Parts: sequence; structure tokens; C-alpha cells
Amino acid sequence: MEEKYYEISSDNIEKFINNLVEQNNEVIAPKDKDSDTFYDKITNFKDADLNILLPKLSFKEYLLPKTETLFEYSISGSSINILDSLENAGAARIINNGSGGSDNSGKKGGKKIIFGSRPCDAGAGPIMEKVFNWDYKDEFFNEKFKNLYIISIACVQPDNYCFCTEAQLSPESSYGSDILLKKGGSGYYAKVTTEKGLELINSSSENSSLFKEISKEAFPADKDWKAAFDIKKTQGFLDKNFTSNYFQEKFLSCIGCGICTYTCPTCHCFDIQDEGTNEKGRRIRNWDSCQFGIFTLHTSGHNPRVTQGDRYRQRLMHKFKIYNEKFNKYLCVGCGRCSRNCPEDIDLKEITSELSLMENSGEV
Amino acid sequence: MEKMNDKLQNTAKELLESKEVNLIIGFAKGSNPLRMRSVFITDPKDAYKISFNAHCVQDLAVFLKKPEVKKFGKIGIVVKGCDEKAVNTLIQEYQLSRDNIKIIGVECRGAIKQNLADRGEDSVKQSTVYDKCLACEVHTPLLYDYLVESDEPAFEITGDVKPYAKIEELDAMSVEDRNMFWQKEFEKCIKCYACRQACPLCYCTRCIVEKNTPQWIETNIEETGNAQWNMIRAYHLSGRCIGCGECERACPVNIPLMLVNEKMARDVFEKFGYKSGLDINAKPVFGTFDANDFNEFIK
Amino acid sequence: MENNRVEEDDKNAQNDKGNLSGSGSAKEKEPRIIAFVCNWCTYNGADLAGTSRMKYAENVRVIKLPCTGRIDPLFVVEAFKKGAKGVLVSGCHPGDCHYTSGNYHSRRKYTAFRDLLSYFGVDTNRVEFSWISASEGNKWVSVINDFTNKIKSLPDSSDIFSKQ
Repeated sequence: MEEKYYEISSDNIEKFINNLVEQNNEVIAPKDKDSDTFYDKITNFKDADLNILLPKLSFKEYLLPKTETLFEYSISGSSINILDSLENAGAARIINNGSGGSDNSGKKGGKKIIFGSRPCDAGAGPIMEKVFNWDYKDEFFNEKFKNLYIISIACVQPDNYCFCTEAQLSPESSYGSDILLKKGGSGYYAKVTTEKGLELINSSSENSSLFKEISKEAFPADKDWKAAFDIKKTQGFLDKNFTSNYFQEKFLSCIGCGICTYTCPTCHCFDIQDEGTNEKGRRIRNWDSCQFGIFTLHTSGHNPRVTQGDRYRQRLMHKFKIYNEKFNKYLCVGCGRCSRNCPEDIDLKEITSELSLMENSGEV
Repeated sequence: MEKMNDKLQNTAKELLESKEVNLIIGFAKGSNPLRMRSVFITDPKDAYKISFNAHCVQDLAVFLKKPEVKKFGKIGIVVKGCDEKAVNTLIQEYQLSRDNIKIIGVECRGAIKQNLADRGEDSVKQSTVYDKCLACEVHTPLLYDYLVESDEPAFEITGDVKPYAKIEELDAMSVEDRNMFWQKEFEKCIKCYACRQACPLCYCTRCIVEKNTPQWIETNIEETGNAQWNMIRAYHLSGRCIGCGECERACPVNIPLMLVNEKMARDVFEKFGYKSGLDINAKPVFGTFDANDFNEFIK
Repeated sequence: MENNRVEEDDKNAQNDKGNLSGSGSAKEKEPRIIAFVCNWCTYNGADLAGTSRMKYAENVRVIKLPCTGRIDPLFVVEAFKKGAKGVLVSGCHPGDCHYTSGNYHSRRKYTAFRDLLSYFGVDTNRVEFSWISASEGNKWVSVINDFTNKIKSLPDSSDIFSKQ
């Protein structure tokens, strides 16, 4: 659709969000919790903490829950009953599986709205969507993706771990956002790029009156964000140096905790498990991580990725080479969470930039 | 700090040059001035990278369980007093031979909480260090081959300091309230198992959660699976945990794991008079028994 | 003959499972108790109670293991997971262990484990530990009856290991 531009005051954005809450939607925003910030459900605009750069975890769990039930079964006597989670339980239940695992509200028909995410987090949605649809169409993901509305706020000041610009997004990118807000004027300028964004604005006459449409020219232009290194060169290094000793040496300090993958907005690996007894049970999928030794362990006992170096190399390869070869995009939004949260201080920005400089250095 | 770093670097250099060790694990500058990270040195020329300050939060003993690191054979390791207790426990439990390790102990004056350092905190004070530092009895490591003294003064402790004060609060609660408290905490768990990986004493090559015949610990990342995992992690570490606090620091969702570890350490001390990691010749508390052990709960 | 018995056992086991997961009719509301016992003392004590025709609460299901030292606290968690309301661990008296010291080790483990359960807010009344020798059929009966009564008197609350 054609992009639309609006202006909205600070007071009105508060009204808008509170209206969305009242309209029976689940609004999720960065929220203060145990002296850190996490995405969580808010009931009032004032609950949202919009001053921080990024919440500690991404909102990935609203697209790919930590544990998701694929189907349930029950057996009584000779009859076996299978409950398809998508069909039978109704979409509402599955969608609500997002926060904290259990279905926490029975709100049917309500939307899930992420408010106050950053362009990096917003960009993760369409990046994952490609994976979940290139071959097999993952309805569980799609259902949630379709019903997730994203209102993000452009960053003013990225920190030292951020590298969205290098990862082909930018602190002001609207990729993946339904509405992108930029601070300025009487409060915010809004850029609406999708029908879903318009749907939110036009969800009531009061809501649409809060927004004042402006011309494209009146919308503040993006700053000239400069990439500190060329990610294509990083890819160039990875193309040629699968067996490089760099990985083995660099990742001696990796303890394989998997925090980088669990806090990553785009990492999407899952593990399918069955749980249950003779009477009832379910098939679920849980988050999983390529940083675990058992991730590639064969039944035979052979493990193709023996060392942590092999495993971290896989993470780099997948993000900056393999995914790109297929979808011409990177499986990384440059949010820097993996670096900030790494207990051993492994910094992905530092590594990718280091690799980009080594592109033509041959075997290292 | 300068003097300390010189001594550290010289020790590391000599050890590598004399081939007494093949690898030195130490601390080096991290991704920002208030972060430190581990460094693995095999060439004496690189010894200059090693340094130490109040941001050295990591417990380097965690690497001693890593097969890639074990391969180096004789290893020199830079440890704070608390981390050194992990080395002791590894020796006690036959995971490490005393002959294969050169312990470069550093006198530590307290480590600044990483979440505060990330917001710019750079001074060692009662309010900025970890709880373990407030109760620290091992500012000087118990066992070492080389000792690097600190040239910093100890931070001042004023008033009635109660590290891990929440434990007493929890003890005073009703069973139901405690249940509520922990359910709420475990609900946050995302089962990344960083607590396990960051722990120097979680060295099983195959963790209980990876065993699936039977599936002892449910795989789901919901109330039940999370509670089972956290329960069994705590149980496997009771009487062994040396209180380095790495699990809690690593936890990306801020579960107060040290409240569990510390509680178990206190209980084990109360019942069996045992503190972990103090003596490499002591028998691990659950590897031995006394005929007159606590018997009150048994019919 | 032997085969028939196995089949019969299987059937019972299946019915038990239904009970364990505890749903449905009033009859199934009876709390289930799992007793992990050692092969040498308590199991024989229970056997003695049986051969002496002593009657005790039907709620208990006995699982025999070589020694209390083999009874990992994980078994207790597993029993709770499957819906048991109470778990009994029982073995030889101190000094009587067939393997010399298994029960001593077990005692240490369960001391810590009970503390941990209580700290996490699981009612420790639900975990019982006893020493019962092969000659103590009487004691077995009284331990089981007392424990069953205690479990029945507890409020019907869920624990953190199983969803109710």
C-alpha cells in the first residue's frame, strides 16, 4: 500500500494506546521488571517504559512461544481423541500462548499489539516469516504473525553494541513495523506502511481523529546513518573460511549457554517433543539453541559439531551467509542483545567487524 | 592496579616460557571499559594482555570443564578467592588433578555488579558489589601457587550488612507464600540453561535434562518443566556450590538463583558442618556420612 | 501362569495410572501414595505384614529398589509429577544396610532434599522417610496408616511439579 504520514501529540499517543487497551486488545510494551526491562502486557500507557534503548529479551515469544502445543491427544478405552491446537482450540488460545506460556486471557477477537519496540525488533518479524514459509507453511507462526500489530519508535541514540545499520536496517527503519513513530513536533511523527497500521488508526473514529495526516515531505527525513563496516565483507570471509582456526580460538571463551540465541529476535530453532502418559498428552515445540552440544548429536553418538568453536561458527554462518544465500537478507537485525547479555562478553559486532576486515586475508 | 597487572603478566609469561603450563586463562579488556572478559594465552608474548580489576566478574574456573580447554593439559588460571573454591571442588571431585593446574590467585577487593557497571558504575562500594563480596571470607584465595596482592584498599562496610537478606524473609513466609514466590520466579525461566553452563561445577557431559528414557525433567518451558529444572539444578549443587554467583549473573531473566544456592549452603553447614570448596583433601559432603547424622525427620 | 500374573499386573498398573493423574469420580479422589522401599529390609517388612494378614491403607503402591541409596530424589519429583499426593522412602535401620552405608548416604541426601522442597514451598508433610526392618511388619502398617491419614488431612493443593 501507499505509505501514509501523520503527526500526533504526546498526549494523543497516550490516548491512542489507552484506547487500544480499552478496545479489548492485548497491548505489550517494554515494562520495568526486577530493575530490568522486558516486554510485558500493559493496561495503561504509563506502564510502558519508553526511555530505555531495548528490553532485555525481544518479543520473539509472541511469534514463537517458548513452548507451543501442536496437538493434544487423549485416550479412553479404544477411542483416541486428537485435538488439533489450530482448529479445535480456536486461534485465540494459541495466540494467547505467547506470554508466560499459559493462556492468560480469553480475549477473543482482540489483537496483539506491540507498542514501543525498536526498529530492530520489528524487523525480526518479516525475517523470521521467510523461514517459516519458504517450504512448509507454518500455520502456527503465520497465525500469530498475522495477528501481531507492531508500533515501533525510532531510535535516537544506538549504543556501542548496536549495529542495525550494518545489518541493513537502520535506527529509523520502518521494515517490519506497521506504524513507525519518530519523536518530533508536538510529540511524534508517524509513518504507516501497512494495512494493519491503518486498521489500528481507524479502529475507532476517536482514534483516527488523534492523528493528523501530513505530507511525505513534512515527515522528518532519516539521518544519514553510516555503517562502521561492510557486512558483505563479513559474508565474504565466511564464504571462504569454513575451516579457519579463527573460530576455534575466538570461541574458547564461549561457555555454550545459548543466551545469544534465546535473546536473539531472529533465532528461531525449536525442538519438537512429546509429553504425556498412556491416557493423555501433547506434542509441543520448545525453543532450542544451536549452541548446545546435544543440538547436533546423532543417535549413533557422532556429533558433527564437536567444539564450541564449531557451534558459534554455525551461528555466524547461518546469520551472515546461509540465510543470505537463500533470502538475500541477513538473519540478524543488529540489536546487539547477544553481546549485551553474553556472560563471557563475546561481542557480535566486534566479531562481524573483525571478520569484515579479514575478508581477503586468506586462511587464518 | 599497575603493580598487580605487572606481576600477573610476569607470572604468566614465566609459566609459559618455562613450559610449566601450556595455557594461561586470565582476564583481559572487554567490549567496553567497564567490562572484562576471559583471555586464553599460549604465547608468552601475549601475556601483556592479562589484567585484573573490579570488573573481573567471571569465574574462569568454568573453562576447566570444557573439553577444548582440557586438551591443553597443564593450565595456569587466574582466580579470585571465590573462583578458587571452584578449583578446589573440582580437585575434590576428581575432575582435575592438582598437578595439572597452576593457580595464580589474585587478592580481590570485591567485584562490581555487572548490571551496574553497564550503567557506568566504576567504584567498589558496599552498594555496588555482589552480595557474595559482602560476606566474602576469601579475599585472599585459600590455595595458590602464586599470589598477586591487591594494591587497593578494602571497601568499607558500614551498618548491619545482611547479604542475601531475602532468604530470612522467605524462611519466615508460609509454605504457600514461598510456593507463590518461586512459581513467579520460575515462570520467567526460558530454559536456556545458562545457569548450568556458567557453573564451574556443572560438569556432567550429559545433563539430567538431556536424558529422555525416562524424561526425568519435562521439556516444556512452562510452570512444571521450569520448576522441575530449577529444583534439580539446585539439588545437584547443594553442598557443592561455592557461591561464585555466575548462574545468577548469567540468567537473562534475573531469577535470583543465589537465594537458592546460598540457602542450601547454609542448611548443609547447619546440618553437617560442611562448607564447600575450602579444602581439597576433604570428602565432598554427600560423598561421605556420619553415623550420628541428622535423623529427626525419619520415623 | 507367570504370564497371566504379568498381564494382571499390567492391568492394575493401567488403572493405577488413571488414579495417579487424579481426575473424575469420587472413588478416584483417594490420594495415591508411592512408597520407594529397599529390597532387603522394608520390602520384607511389608511382605511380613502381608503374610501375617495385617491390613493397612490401600492408598500405597510399593516400588522396590535395591537400597535407599538408589532412591534418587528425582524419583520423588517423578511421583509428584505423575500426581502422587505423598511419597514414602523407607529402608534399613542405620547400621543394618545390606550394602553397609547406602542408607546413611540416603539420609544425607534426603535431609538436603527436604530442606529444598520446603524452601520451594512444597509441603514436606508429603514426603516421609522411615527405617523399617524385615521383622517390623507392625511398623510398616502403622507408618503407612499414619502417613495416609496425614496425607488425607492435607488441603488439596497442587504443587509446583504438576499442573492440576
